[in-house]
Amino acid sequence: MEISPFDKLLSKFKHPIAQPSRSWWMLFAIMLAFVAIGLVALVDQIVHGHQVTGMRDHVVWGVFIVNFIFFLGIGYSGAIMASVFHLTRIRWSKPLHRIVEQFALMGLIVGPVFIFLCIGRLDRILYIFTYARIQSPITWDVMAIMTNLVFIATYLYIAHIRDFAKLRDTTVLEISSWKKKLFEKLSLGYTGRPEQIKALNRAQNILAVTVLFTAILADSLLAWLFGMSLRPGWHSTLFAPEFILVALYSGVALLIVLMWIYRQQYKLNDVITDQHFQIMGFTLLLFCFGFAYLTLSECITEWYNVSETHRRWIGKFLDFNEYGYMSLATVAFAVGFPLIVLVIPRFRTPGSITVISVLILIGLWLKRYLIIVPTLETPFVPMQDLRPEYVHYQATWVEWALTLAGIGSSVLILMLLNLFAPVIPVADLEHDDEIVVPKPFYETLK
Amino acid sequence: MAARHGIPGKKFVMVIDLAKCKNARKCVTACQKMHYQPEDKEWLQVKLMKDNEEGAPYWFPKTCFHCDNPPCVKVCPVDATFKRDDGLVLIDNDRCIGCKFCMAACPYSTRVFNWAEPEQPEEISMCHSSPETSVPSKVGTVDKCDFCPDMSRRGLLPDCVTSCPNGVFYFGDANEDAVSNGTETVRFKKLLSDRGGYRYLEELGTEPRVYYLPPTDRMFPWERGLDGLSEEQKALYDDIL
Repeated sequence: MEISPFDKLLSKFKHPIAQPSRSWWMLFAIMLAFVAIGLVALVDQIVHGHQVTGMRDHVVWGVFIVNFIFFLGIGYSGAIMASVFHLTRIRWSKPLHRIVEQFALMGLIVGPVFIFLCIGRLDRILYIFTYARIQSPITWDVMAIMTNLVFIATYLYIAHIRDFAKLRDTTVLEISSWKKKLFEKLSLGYTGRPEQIKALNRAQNILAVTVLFTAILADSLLAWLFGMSLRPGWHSTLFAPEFILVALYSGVALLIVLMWIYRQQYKLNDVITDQHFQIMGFTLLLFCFGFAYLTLSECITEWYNVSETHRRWIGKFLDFNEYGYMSLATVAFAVGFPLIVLVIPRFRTPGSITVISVLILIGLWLKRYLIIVPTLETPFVPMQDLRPEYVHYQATWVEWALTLAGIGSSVLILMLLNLFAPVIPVADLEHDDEIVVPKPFYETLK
Repeated sequence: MAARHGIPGKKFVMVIDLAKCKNARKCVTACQKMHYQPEDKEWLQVKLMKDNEEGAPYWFPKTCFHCDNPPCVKVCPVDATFKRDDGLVLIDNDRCIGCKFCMAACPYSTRVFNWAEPEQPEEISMCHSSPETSVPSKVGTVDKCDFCPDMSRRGLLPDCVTSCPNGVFYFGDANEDAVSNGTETVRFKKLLSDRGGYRYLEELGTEPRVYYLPPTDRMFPWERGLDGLSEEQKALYDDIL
C-alpha cells in the first residue's frame, strides 16, 4: 500500500510522539535541571524574604516583572498571530499555526508565574479574589490573563482535534495503547462527517475572533499597569500600542527561531520552506520599522521639551554610566542588525534571519528592562540614600536562577505539547479544503 | 472596623514650616522609636532640596501626604491600603499581599517594604496589628507614615510633631481650622495665607493633606543641617549642591 504524503509527514514525528528519542530525554533533563535551580532560588527567597533579590524600596520591581512582560508578550502575540492566521485564511501560514498556538499557551503559563515571584505574601494570594477591588489595574490584569489562558487553551485544543483523530487512526506510527486511548478520548469521535466539519470550523472561527480581541485588550491592560502611574517614563498614552507592537515583534522573532529548530529537528524543509523564512523575515522588517518609529517618537517628544524629572530619566539612556550601553544594545539588536540583514537580499537566508531573530528577542527583553528599571530609579523626590543597593538595582543570582527556570519551563511546556501532537498540523494540511477559503475570481476564468 | 472609617468629624492636616527646619532629625528618630523601626527604615525622611540653580538649599521633612486623591489606594488590588473619612491613608498589614503596586504608584516615594523579617522586640512582633498603630511590621508587606491616629484618639499629637525642637510640624484638624506644633496653636487657613503655604508637586493632582510653608526668614542657615554628618552622608547631597 502506498503511503500518502501526509502520512509520510506524520511519520517524521515518530520521535517524540511514538517514542521520545534519547536526545529528547537529554534536553528534557537539562531543562528540568534549569527548573530545579530556580526552585532552589525560590526556596531561598521564601525562607529569607525578598531581601535576597535586588529589589528595594525604589526599584520595587526588577527582572521578575521584566520576564512577566516578556513572556506575556510572547503569549499575547502568539494568540494574536494564531487568530489572524486563521481568520485571514492565509494558506501558506498553515504549517506555522501550531507553533504560534503552542507558544501562546506557553507564554500565558510562564508569564504569570513571575508575578507570583514578585509578591511578598504568597500565602495571601487568594485575597486577590476574596478582597478583589475592581479599581485596581492588577485586578484587571488578573481577569485578563485568566480569560486569555482559558480561551487560548480551548483554541489550542480545538485546533488539535483533526490531528488527534488522525493519530487515533494512524498506522504509520506505533503509538502506545494508552496514548491511543487518550487520542480516542481527545478526538471526541471526530471522523470528518460534514456536520462535524461545520461545527469544528464554526467553533474555531468564534474562538479566533474572541482570542484576537481579548489578547489585544489584555496586552493593553498589561501596558496600563504602568501607563496609569504618574511616573515619568510610564505615564504615556503610547504605552498600549507600544506594548502590542513590541509583543508582536518578539512573537514573530520567536516563531522564526522555532521554525528553524523544528525544521532541523524533523527535517521539514519541504513544509517549512525557505520562502516561509523570507515572508516572516519581511514581517519582521515591518515590525522593526514600527519599533524604530515608536522608539523615535517616544524619545524625541520626551527629549525636546520636558520637565526636570523627565530630563533626569531620559538622560539615563544617553549616559554610559547609567543605561547608555543597554540602550545602544537594544537599538542595535532590535533595529540595527535586523535592518542590515533584512534589507540586503544577499543576507536574507533562513540561518541569518534566525540569528537576528535571537538577537531581536534579546533586544526586546532589554527594552522591557529599560521600561521598568530606569523609571523606578528616577523618582520625583531625590533618593539621597546611603545604601547603594537602594539607589541602583542589580539583579541577584536568585532572580537570574528563576529567569533560567522560566526559560527551562517554557522549553518543557513546548516539549510536552510535542509529545501529543506534531508541530505541523498535519491533518489540517491534509484537509485544507474543509476550511472555507474564497476562491480568487480569476480561477473561474481560467 | 473603626480603624477603617476614621475618627468622626475630623479632617487631619499637617503644615510643615521649612523656615524652621535645620535637619535635626529628631522627628525621624522619634518616629522610628514609636513604631519600633530600625535606623535604616525611615517612614519620615528629611531631604535636602534646591529648586533651581540660583535658589538656596533647604531641608525638607517628608511624611506621607495622605492624599485626597491617593494613587496608592487606587491601585491596591485587595483594599489593604485605604482612605478614611478623616483624611488618613492607612495600611492593613494583615491584608497586604506585598505586590508593591502602591509603592510604584506613589510619586513621593513614601512607602517602605519589609524585605526581610522585621527586627523588632519580640513582645511587639507578637502583639495584634492595627492600621492605626502600624505596629508590628510584617515581612513581605508595606509600611508607611500613618499620622499616628492612635495618638489622635488619645488627644495627643504625633511624635514627630512633639519631638521637633524647632516646632517645624503643625498638626491638626481642618474642620476645626486649627493646627498645633505643641507650643503654639494657630488658625490653619490663616497660617497658609500669611505664609504662602503650598503643596509639594501640586501639578500631579494627588491633593496632599500636607502643606509646606516656604523657607523664608529662616531660623537657621541651611548649612547648620550638615553639622555632625559624616563625609559619606554629606556626599549624598553632591548633586543637589
